[in-house]
Amino acid sequence: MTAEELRPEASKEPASQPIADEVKGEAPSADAAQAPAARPRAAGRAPAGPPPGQQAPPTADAVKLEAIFKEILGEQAMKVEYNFGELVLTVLPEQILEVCRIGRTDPRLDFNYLRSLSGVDYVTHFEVVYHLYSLDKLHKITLKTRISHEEPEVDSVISVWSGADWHERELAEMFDINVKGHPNLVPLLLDEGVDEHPLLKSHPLVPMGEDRPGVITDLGESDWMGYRASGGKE
Amino acid sequence: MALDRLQTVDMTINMGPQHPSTHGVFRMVLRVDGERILDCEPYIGYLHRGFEKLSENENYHTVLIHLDRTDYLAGFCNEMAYIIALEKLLGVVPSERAEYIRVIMCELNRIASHMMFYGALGADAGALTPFLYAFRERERLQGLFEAVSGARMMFFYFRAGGVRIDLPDGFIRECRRVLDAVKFGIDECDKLLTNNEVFISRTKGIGAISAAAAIDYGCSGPILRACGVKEDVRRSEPYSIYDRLDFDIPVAYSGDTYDRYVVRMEEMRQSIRIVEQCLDQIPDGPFMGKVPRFIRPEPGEVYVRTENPRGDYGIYLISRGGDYPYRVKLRSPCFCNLMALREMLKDCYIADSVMVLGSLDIVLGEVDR
Amino acid sequence: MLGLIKGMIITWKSNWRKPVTVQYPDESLPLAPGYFGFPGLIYDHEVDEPFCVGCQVCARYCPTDAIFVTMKDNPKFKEGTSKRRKIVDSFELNISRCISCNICVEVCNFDAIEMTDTFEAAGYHPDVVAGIPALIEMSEKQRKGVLARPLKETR
Ligand code: SF4
Ligand code: SF4
Repeated sequence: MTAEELRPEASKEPASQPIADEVKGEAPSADAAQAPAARPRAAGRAPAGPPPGQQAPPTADAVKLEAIFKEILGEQAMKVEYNFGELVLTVLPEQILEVCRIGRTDPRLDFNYLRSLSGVDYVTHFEVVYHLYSLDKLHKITLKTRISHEEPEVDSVISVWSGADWHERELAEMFDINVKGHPNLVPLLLDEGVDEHPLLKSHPLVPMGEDRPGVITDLGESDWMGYRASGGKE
Repeated sequence: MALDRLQTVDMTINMGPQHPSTHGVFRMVLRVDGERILDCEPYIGYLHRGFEKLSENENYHTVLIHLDRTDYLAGFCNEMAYIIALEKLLGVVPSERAEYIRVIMCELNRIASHMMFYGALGADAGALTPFLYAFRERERLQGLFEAVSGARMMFFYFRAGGVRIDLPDGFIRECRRVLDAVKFGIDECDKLLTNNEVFISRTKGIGAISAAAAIDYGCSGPILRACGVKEDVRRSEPYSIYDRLDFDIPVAYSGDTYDRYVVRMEEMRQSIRIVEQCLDQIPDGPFMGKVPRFIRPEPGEVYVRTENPRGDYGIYLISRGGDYPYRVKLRSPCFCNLMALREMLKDCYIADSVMVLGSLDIVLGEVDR
Repeated sequence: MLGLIKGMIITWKSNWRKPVTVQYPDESLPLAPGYFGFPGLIYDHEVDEPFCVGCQVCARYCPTDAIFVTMKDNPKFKEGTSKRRKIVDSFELNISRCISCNICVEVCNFDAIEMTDTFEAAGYHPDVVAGIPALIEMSEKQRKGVLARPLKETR
């Protein structure tokens, strides 16, 4: 298994690219940077130097965790990044449940607290992000897995942390991701029977300044002060 | 006819969606055996406004006006989390004075929010007097918020690199005066409920949750601290200037409704301590650091957690360049605390369910986002 | 018995205390100095026209689309009495939509708009619109210090 497999969009790149290069060259593609709803002037200037997230050196905890994960999973199985000095691991979707279980049960890792579970739609692929924390050891890690739009499926981690329950239900309804093994995958926040997945980037969002349904934009002839002076009788 | 051939069946009853004591539009379906709750299924989403989707179409600062409206009782604390995330992405360092102003406002906000909790819990227990006492104290603090930020609830006050406007003249003196009054007020509130026999029998041992279960469900804040876990983001991962301040983390051990109440009462006193230290130390200087003219963070992502009055408040902010955030995810403490409600309500009586829910201090605007 | 007497004394005392309740529509509590009501347009008394040039920046940034602005050529510029080439033609603030967030004030490049103390917007009409005269009046009222008060008088 190679790191290229981790990225569904990586097929364009030469297969022989080493992992280290790939980690460095993580610049977003120009088309993906534009959200469908973003206005055209959103194009930014050329960045000067590495972004702040990459500048910080890895913390001691992060280096230690990386070594432990490498020992358990092997070198090839994951992509390692550092973001603000913290460890970010990207693993294959088939592995995520296993990695989570190891993280929870291994006494050296002991990630007993699921801080947050979020989905991100990167147009080319989905990313499911697990922010884990250990209340006893006070270290943290970001686990990521990438799934394609064609096969949006991820394993449920509800057997590892009960707290994943509602997060996963939200993930399923907002991104149309099938969370395998979740006992009760009914919509949480949206209306029952609504067949929309709002957080997908393809979901339309009417930009500011345009007519939205149900909003009065024709202001008519009313004058506020005159109306108030008349005591609201007009 | 022999009595032992009579069968009892579990009954399913519905509470809400607008039960007067459920702190917002919330509905739970209870499976009961007589008066005893066997299972509970909370239903949320009645206040869902699509905060996360909306913020993808706002520029980096206007996201704040939505954040104020998620947890409307703790606007400053919400803004704090988001602004720290934004500053990290921008690589901006806020000015020293602004950091102090932020912490002062957050801690005052914490007191105001816990006061609301105190009043609401009293009302849930059937005592209306605490509500009025709590609101008297809260009103004093609201006056301060109004003077500083110009609004009573929807503040929109923090900015990347600092705050919108400096503290008004005479704020420090006025704040000390208010703090003295609030300190007295907290003691008064304490006298009213803490040792009240009826209140104790309504709360002690009700809705208890074990530390292991609370951690498993991702509970945070006073709920977790009431189970004996000494976890406070201000201590375990100090943000802003909290590492320079001296305060204690109150912990209780039985994890029931009463302990959650006691922890919050003590937290208010600690917040006053923090604000007093800040008022002593606050430096003069600019209220705004050096910020670029256009807020356009470079591509990157950051997860920031802060200690909200309700718990561990997380913001996951992703930028891919441009004027708009690519994704804003809000990890709301109430959302996770509410998940544990099912665990807490097992074997409670129906009448207690309202108390247990009150002790979670949920704000539905934040749960549903 | 002692408690009863104590209670009676408190009741007796509060009989003679001044009520703290304020009869709201007739009298109101003082507002804090930085209070934000709705935005108002600042008037340039030297040239006798508003500062606003109708550039629509505020309308674009307003999160609730409460502002509608149009621009026109300034007749006073031709006469030579004003330095503004363009001037606001119509400025409509939908009072029922404004959330008093201060964004329009922050983004204005001409410092032509400010937050005023006016905050009462209740009415029967669904969309209540303030035009230029109303907005200038709101700003002028504050300028005269009618409502601005120092901090120590608040509550
Ligand atoms: S108020 Fe300011 S930003 Fe708005 S149209 Fe006038 S000049 Fe432009
Ligand atoms: S205060 Fe905010 S909502 Fe009101 S007009 Fe200005 S920008 Fe729009």
